Amino acid sequence: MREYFNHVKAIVWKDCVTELKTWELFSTMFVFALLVIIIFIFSINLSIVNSYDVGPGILWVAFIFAGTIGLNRSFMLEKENGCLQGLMLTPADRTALYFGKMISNMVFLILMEAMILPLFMIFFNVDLVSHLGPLLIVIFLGTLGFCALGTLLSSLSSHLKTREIMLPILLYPLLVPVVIGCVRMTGEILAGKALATQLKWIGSTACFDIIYIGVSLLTIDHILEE
Amino acid sequence: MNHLGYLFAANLFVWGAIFFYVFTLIKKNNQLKQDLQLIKETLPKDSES
Repeated sequence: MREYFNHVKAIVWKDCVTELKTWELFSTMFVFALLVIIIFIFSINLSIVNSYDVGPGILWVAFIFAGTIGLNRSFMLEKENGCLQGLMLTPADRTALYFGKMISNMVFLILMEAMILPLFMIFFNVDLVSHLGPLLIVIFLGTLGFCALGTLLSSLSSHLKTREIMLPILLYPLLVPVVIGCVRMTGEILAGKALATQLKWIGSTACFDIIYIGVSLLTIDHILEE
Repeated sequence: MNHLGYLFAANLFVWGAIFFYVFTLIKKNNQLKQDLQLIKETLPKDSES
């Protein structure tokens, strides 16, 4: 078991070192998320619309659209120069490769979200500080589901010629239940309700996270074999 | 929340497509393994070393 965790850790470390050298993925995701928020600010008149009503949806749209860019690059980088073939030749289990990629995607996405949240708070004049704890739990649940499913579909679409188009087409319909749950929970938290009143949504989001991870573990072996 | 039927249909369709793709991959891999086995069996013993 320790060896398995070491394999996962090695893949995460490799991805982090690669990213630290270029900052290519993080900067692209951050700028894209920022642009999405700015576009919404200009398109919505916040003196008429309550920012607590529209804010959660815009925040999650920014997270997910920016995250998709990161997912697209995740396996494409490995395909270049046959790096994925090299990873497959290592004695590491294929699921370790999946978990390594998923965790590294999560790290980059959480970093980007941590940078976007203060800007969202400023632009939308929303108080996030007093609800930070519950909000972080919701963001973690949403990011886990997004990365669990996104990593699987990214590995699947990396074999296809139209990978950049196929990933969002496959990802977004399957991600809708998690997004609905996260947007609802974020809205309720910003409205001042306790997270304990959102157990239904927490349960459904956590269930979908587990389903995504379970399906990925069942299928990743065959998908990477292709 | 009145369109959960459409959401369910979209989910079903995409999951179905993904599983169909994975099953075709499994079938293709099994066929490849069988072909490899056949080549191994047809090769003369001395060429294996």
